[in-house]
Amino acid sequence: MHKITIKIAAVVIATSFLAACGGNQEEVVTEEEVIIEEAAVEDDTEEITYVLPSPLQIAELFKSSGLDYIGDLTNSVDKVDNYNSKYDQKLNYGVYASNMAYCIMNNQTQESINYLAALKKLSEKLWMTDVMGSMGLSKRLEANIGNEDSLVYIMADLQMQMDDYLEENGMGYTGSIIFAGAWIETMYLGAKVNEAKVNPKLISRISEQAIILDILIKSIKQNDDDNEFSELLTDLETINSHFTGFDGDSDEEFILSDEAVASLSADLTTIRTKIVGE
Amino acid sequence: MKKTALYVALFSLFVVLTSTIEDTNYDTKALKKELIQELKPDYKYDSSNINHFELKSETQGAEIQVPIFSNEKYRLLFNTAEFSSDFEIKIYNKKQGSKNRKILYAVKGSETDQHVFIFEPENAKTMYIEYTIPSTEEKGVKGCIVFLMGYKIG
Repeated sequence: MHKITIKIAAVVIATSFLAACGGNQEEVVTEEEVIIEEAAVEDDTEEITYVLPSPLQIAELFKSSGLDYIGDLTNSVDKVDNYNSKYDQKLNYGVYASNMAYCIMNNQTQESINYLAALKKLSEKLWMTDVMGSMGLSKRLEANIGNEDSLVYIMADLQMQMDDYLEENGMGYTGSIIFAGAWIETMYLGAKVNEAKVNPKLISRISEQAIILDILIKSIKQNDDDNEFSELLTDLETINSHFTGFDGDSDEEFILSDEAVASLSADLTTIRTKIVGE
Repeated sequence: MKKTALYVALFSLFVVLTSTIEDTNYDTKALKKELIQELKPDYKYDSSNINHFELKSETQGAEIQVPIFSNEKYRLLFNTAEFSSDFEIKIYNKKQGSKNRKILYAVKGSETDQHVFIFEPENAKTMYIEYTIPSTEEKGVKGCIVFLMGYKIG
């Protein structure tokens, strides 16, 4: 286990106690309230779990940075029957989830419903029907058409249902593959929108994704004992090569150069085409 | 004789199965649901993770890496209602061995009656969460710690 040498233990605790059910009290602590600095830590034998963010959060970040809607960028729902292997189905489930988020956030109601239908089809093929069925997703979406905020919350619920399902069925690795499809698609959309109109805020958000890519690669590698995902890992490493210079430990902001954004966009397009098909 | 052996085998299997079911008979969905209440009304669900532990005579540990994005708000939640033994949760701003690694949050099960813990980071790229389960004589008892995160954009 870890041996920790505490250099400074100046702890300032300003707690706020909230009433909770059953008489339990909860303590909300914010970062500035706890200041304990420590030296280097020894050893690490335990396994690390990599928690990936929801694709919805990344789509929202991009949207808040100016991810405009360009109609023909998303993957056609007509291709949904072309994905026959479980691997393709998982990746494209992620792609369609990303497309649906993009449409919802840009008030493209009919498109959103079309993507929902494609997701339903793929979830049936992946035996994840419970994810969609248990929450009456279609009805809730239809009832909230035009209300972007509610639709985004419904998508967050969908993510939670999927995480529960994958956890209960010991399919955590599937989540990484679905996330990979969603992440590549969202990055592709971001890069293409930026190509149409250069947007420094969006470039900053795209650059920030270096940390997610690093964790995604580690997460997939951890679950790839049979080298089932070596092609995907090679593609992700190709994308990662554009983030040279990124240091996860540095406090300085990492921003891709214009040239790096252009070459990243080209590679994202190639890899995305491989996933969705021509 | 063969029949007796079969009955013994079936009974043993039954005992093993039922004891396993009893040991892990906790509803992780309900634990998550309790945390979801702590996200309302401003935060949206982002991700979650459940670490299952079986108490041992050796100290155990687990680490979770959680990426977060700059200038956005996050709420990290833990539910230890289904963990009867002592535990320690620590959150660091950098990975092990890094210079200037700081503890941002720490809680010890033996020092509190609560089972829901909330932390809101201000600025970090990745959160490094570490669970430590001290050695105990209560070997074989199972439990879990549920982690859940919410976000708020803008």
